[in-house]
Amino acid sequence: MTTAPLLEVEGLQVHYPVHRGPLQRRVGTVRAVDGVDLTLARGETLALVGESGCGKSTLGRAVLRLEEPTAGRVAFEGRDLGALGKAELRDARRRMRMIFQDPQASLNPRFRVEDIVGEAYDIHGLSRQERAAGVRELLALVGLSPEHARRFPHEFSGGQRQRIGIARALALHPSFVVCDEPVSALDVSVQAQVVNLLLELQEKLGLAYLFISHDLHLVEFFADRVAVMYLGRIVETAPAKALYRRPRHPYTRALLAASPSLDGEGHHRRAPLQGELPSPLAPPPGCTFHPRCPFAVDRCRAEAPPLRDLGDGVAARCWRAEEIEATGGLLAPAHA
Amino acid sequence: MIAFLRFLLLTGRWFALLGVGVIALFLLAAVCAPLFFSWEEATRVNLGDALAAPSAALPLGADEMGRSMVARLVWGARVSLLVAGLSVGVALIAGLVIGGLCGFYENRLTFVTMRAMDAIISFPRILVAIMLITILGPGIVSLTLAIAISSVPVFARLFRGPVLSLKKRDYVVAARSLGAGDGRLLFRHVMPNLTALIVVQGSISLAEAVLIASGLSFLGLGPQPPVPEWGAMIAQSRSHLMSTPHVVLAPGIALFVFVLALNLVGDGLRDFSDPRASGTGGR
Repeated sequence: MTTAPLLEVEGLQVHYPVHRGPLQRRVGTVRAVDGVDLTLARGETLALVGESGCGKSTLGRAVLRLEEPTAGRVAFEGRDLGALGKAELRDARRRMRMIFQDPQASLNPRFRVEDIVGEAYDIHGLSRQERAAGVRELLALVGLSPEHARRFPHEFSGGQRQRIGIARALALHPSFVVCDEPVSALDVSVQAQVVNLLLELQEKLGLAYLFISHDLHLVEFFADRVAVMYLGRIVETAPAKALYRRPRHPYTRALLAASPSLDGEGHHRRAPLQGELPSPLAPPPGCTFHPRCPFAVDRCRAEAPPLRDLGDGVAARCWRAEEIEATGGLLAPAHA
Repeated sequence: MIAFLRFLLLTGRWFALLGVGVIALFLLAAVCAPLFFSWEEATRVNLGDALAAPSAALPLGADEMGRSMVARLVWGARVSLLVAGLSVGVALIAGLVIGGLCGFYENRLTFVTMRAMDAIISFPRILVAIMLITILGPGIVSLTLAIAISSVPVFARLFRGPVLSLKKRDYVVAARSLGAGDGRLLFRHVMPNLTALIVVQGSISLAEAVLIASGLSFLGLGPQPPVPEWGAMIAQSRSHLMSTPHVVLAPGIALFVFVLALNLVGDGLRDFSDPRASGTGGR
């Protein structure tokens, strides 16, 4: 059996016009997502990693069509989401879902848990009985008890609220879930529980995750593949193991250096990233990473590198990926 | 309602409580007007009693046409409440629809609509109302309509702001991601957050509407004689202010007390709905 990918994203762009002045004249464009290709197989976890403001959340929303893409194509379960009518899109939404970063903000404070979790049943026209049974099952699935159904979100702790958010996302058996930093608003002690719950559910229900995170070391434990995003573009994508063992793009190296790993290894080894994320309104010419890259040469400043295939499922958007890799990152900084 | 009264009692907001009492009294008078005084008593000309001083039969005396002041005040409360209540109700609904839609959908059409609202707001409300009555002709219906239309932009602008930010809340996006349509998002997730604002602004607008209605009636743009209306009563009797002040002061004081009571209750409602002041609001 040939397995067509569950999700296929091609050349996805989300650009925001910026209007200024009394006449609301268009003065520029923010390229939040600027040409992203992704594929995701059934039951797979793809981690999408990058600094805040790099466009990863926008990408996640655009994939689900919660954000209207400017260009590009998203095919989900073989259907082009952009070509679907209203009713068909609603139908597709039975199969793709989202878990939000802030469990407080993502639950309507006026709704009871049963109404939050059961809303999908109402929207898709299922009966009262089906809904009640579904809610009961979903609450059990995420480790909440049936009596929680009558309560309001504010009666729960952060971790429990995120469980409610997860239960809502799993209503009607989706096959694909975008997890938008699902644990970064939680206490460290609760983070592991929620991640474990997500993994358990993936196992049980055969879910595919697009797991958005700013923390490379968090996703190391469960991602099948990792895509690193910078200024609206994917700069490196690789199987998780390969990425952590041999990061190819200088940005990936910097991210790995910046985030403390649990075993302490490699903690202070590399210099952290210098400078700030450039404004997406006026991205630098050439490789967008060159102003912060210790290895940048003239070519990087003039010519934007494509996402180059480096073999073994690894691709990086860097002219010097092989060079840097060969010297183990000890290559003399270009502008020293 | 009971929660509101308990809140006022527990936090010692005596003025607001007083306001509630006064409004209840006026409401009772307006609703039960026909039980106390016949329409005849309020409108029949009886020149024998013209400008009579207060007595047992005529507790507040009579006006220059010999009509009982109490009867006219009570029937006048009916007119004022009807005009103010209806006009605020209509304006509130229209404002919710326009503000809600213009906040939820941001496009050229809604942009132009809101700029039109701004244009109307830039005129004093009473001027807009006068203009509308000039077109519609004087009377209770056109008075109500004029006040309603002149306050729609205020409501539309007031409600648009929160809708603009509410529609971006995560839980609204979450509902959309489940497949919810615009109607569900707007009515189930966005609009319910406006209730506190509606109640508070509604009570304050009611006071404003009563004042504007009286002002317009004073100018002769409201209900025509012999219909009793406080503003019109003041206008009719104003030449007797020096000789028999009660015929002018009675409707004036009624108007003053009623508007003050509405404002006091409005303040109480605002405190009640502010979670920082009461600790019972949403969130």
